[in-house]
Amino acid sequence: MLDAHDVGAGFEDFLAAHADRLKRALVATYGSARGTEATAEALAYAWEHRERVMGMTHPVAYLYRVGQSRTRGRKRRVVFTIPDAADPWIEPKLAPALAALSERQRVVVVLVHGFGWELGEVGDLLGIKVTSVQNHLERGLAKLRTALEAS
Amino acid sequence: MNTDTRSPLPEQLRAIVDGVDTPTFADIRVHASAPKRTRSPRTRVAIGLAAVLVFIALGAGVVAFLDRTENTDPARRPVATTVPTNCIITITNYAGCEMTAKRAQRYLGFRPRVPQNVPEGWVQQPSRLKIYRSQFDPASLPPGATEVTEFFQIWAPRGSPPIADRPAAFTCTPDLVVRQRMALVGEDALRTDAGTVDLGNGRVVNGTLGPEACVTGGPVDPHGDLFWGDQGRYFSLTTNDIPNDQILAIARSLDR
Repeated sequence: MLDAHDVGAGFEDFLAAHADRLKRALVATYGSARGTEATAEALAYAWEHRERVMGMTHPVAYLYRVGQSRTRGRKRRVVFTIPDAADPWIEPKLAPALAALSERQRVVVVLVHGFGWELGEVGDLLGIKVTSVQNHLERGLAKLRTALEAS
Repeated sequence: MNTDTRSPLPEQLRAIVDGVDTPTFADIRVHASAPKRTRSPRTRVAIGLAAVLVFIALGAGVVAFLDRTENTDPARRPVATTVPTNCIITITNYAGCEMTAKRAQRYLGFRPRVPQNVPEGWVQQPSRLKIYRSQFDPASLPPGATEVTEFFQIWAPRGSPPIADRPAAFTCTPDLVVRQRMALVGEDALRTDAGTVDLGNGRVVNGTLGPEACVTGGPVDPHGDLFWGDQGRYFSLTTNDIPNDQILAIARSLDR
C-alpha cells in the first residue's frame, strides 16, 4: 500500500508527464486567463480523482474535457498575454491574430504547428477526424499568415 | 519590417502559450482544497429571478386550472370570499346593489359582456349585482349550490324611471335587461322544455319572440325573452318594445 508520500510522488510524475500538454491545449483553446484557470481546475480534479485519472490511457483528453466543463460558466474573450521580455521576440500582431482564429483552428495550429503534436493526437483531444484536423491546420495557418503579412 | 529579427512562427507560438505558468503540485493541492467557486452575484440574481418566474408561472397555471374547473361547477364559482352585504338578496332587498361591470367581474368570475345595437335614445341605467344565497330562497338554487351571483345590465328610453329590477310580473314598460352569470350544470345545452329561437349566426337559443301579456294592461308586442348557456356562462335577455330583428342583433352581440 502506498503511503501519502508515495501517492504525492506518483502524482508529481503524472504532472511532469501530462500537465504541460494539458495546459497548452487549454490555453490554446481559451487564451491565457481562462486557459490557466481551466488547467488548474482540471489538475485539481485529477488530484481529487487521482487513482482513476492516473490509470487512464489518455488522461490529457479526459482532463481537457474536465477543464472545459468546469469553466463553462466563465466565458470571456480569448486573449493571449505576451510575456514580458519574451525570448524569442514575438510578433505583436500574433496574439490578436491567434485569438481571431476559430477555436479549433487555434488549437490545431498551436498544438501541431507550435508544439509538434501528431494530427491523430489532436484529433483524439478534440474528438474529430485526422482529415478535419488537417483542414483546420491549413485554414488556420493561412489565416494566421495573412493576418501577419498584413501587418 | 526587418524580417531577419523575426523568430519562426512555431517558436513564437510556443513562447506565447508557454509564457503561462503550468500549475505546480503545490498549486494544485491548494486549489483542490480551496472551497469550490461560488456563483457570482449576477448569476445568483438571475437564478433567483428565474425561480420567481417559475413560481409565478406555476401559480398562474394552478389558477387557470381552477378557473377552468370552476367555470363548469356553479358550486365552486370564484366568488370573492367577502362580498358586499348589500348585494345579497334578502326579503327586504330584492334589488341587490349597484355595481360596475369591471368591479362585478371579481364576484362573477368573468368579465361581463356589454350588448350592442341598443335602440337609439335608450340609456343605460346603473348595473346591479345580485347574490342569491340559500338562506333566502333555497328552492331557487340548484342542488349542491349555496350561492348564485348574477349581473344585471338595464337599458330604457331616456327619462324612464329607474328599473331596479325586472318584476316577476310584466309591467310592459319599454326596457332591455341583460343578465349574466356562471352557467349552472347543464345550462350550456339547449333545453327541450322551452321554445327555441335561431339567432341567425348559427346559434339556436332557448326563448320566445312575440307578444306577452302584461299585468298592467294588454299585451306588449314586440317582446323578447331569450336565454342560453355558452362556455360555462349563462346569458338572459328580456326586452319590451324592441323589434324582433333588433332583439336578435342584440343577442348576437352577446354571443361572441
